[in-house]
Amino acid sequence: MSMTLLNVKPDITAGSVIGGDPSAVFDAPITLYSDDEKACQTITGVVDTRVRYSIVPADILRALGIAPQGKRRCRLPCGTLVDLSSARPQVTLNGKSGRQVILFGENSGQIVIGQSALVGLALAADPENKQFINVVLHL
Amino acid sequence: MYGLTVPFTLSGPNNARSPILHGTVDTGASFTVIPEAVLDELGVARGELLLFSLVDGSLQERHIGYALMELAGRSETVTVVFGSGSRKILIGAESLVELRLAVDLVYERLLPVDRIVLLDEEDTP
Repeated sequence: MSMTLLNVKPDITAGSVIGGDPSAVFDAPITLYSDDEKACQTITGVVDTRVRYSIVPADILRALGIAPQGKRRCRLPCGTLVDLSSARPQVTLNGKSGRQVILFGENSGQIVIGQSALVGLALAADPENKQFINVVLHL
Repeated sequence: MYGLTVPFTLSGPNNARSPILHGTVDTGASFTVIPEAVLDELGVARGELLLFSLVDGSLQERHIGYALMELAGRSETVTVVFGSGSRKILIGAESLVELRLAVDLVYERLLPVDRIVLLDEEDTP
């Protein structure tokens, strides 16, 4: 087994929160790569597994060279439905890399690291210790 | 156990497109599993090496990659797992979510879902 997969917790579900409180959040760095992967930027977002997809302000994404690839219909906490642009850039989170769905949020808005990024990179959230845990996915 | 097998195609980074493949819909599988020979043929790059639990309880490391899936009239980039040569094709949960498709086992079909929710089920109506 590779060294990178040591300390994997097989009994924890990807995208879940250790301790069972889905509202527990913490800050974590995430690195985004431009579409040509020649540029990158590390930003700090709030890990919130109640949110399906990660959200990054559109001005940050565009400045980095990430272009919208489609739109996703989303429901905001207030109940409003909105169509947000989306892309699937390369990201690195907790040392793991992959293409994850990112929504284009309001300029200067909050950065959120959502559940799908954790699932896509086989991670769970441990808000008490403000860290991620490597978990096993199922086939 | 009920099963639903559906036709689909995959495209790689250079727009190389697979012939029509048939996969079993398995919402217990995190990602779609495709034989590595098919993904290699399409030029799909091997990405992160992740650890997976198989149905027999064993653990196996497999590479993941990304490909454009066309299924039930919709297309979207999805995560694919490089399966071993004899591995059956499975269409996993992430692909269904990304393509906004729900499983209807009564009529053995995939149904389009129009709405993607941002928050979890606790907050959905």
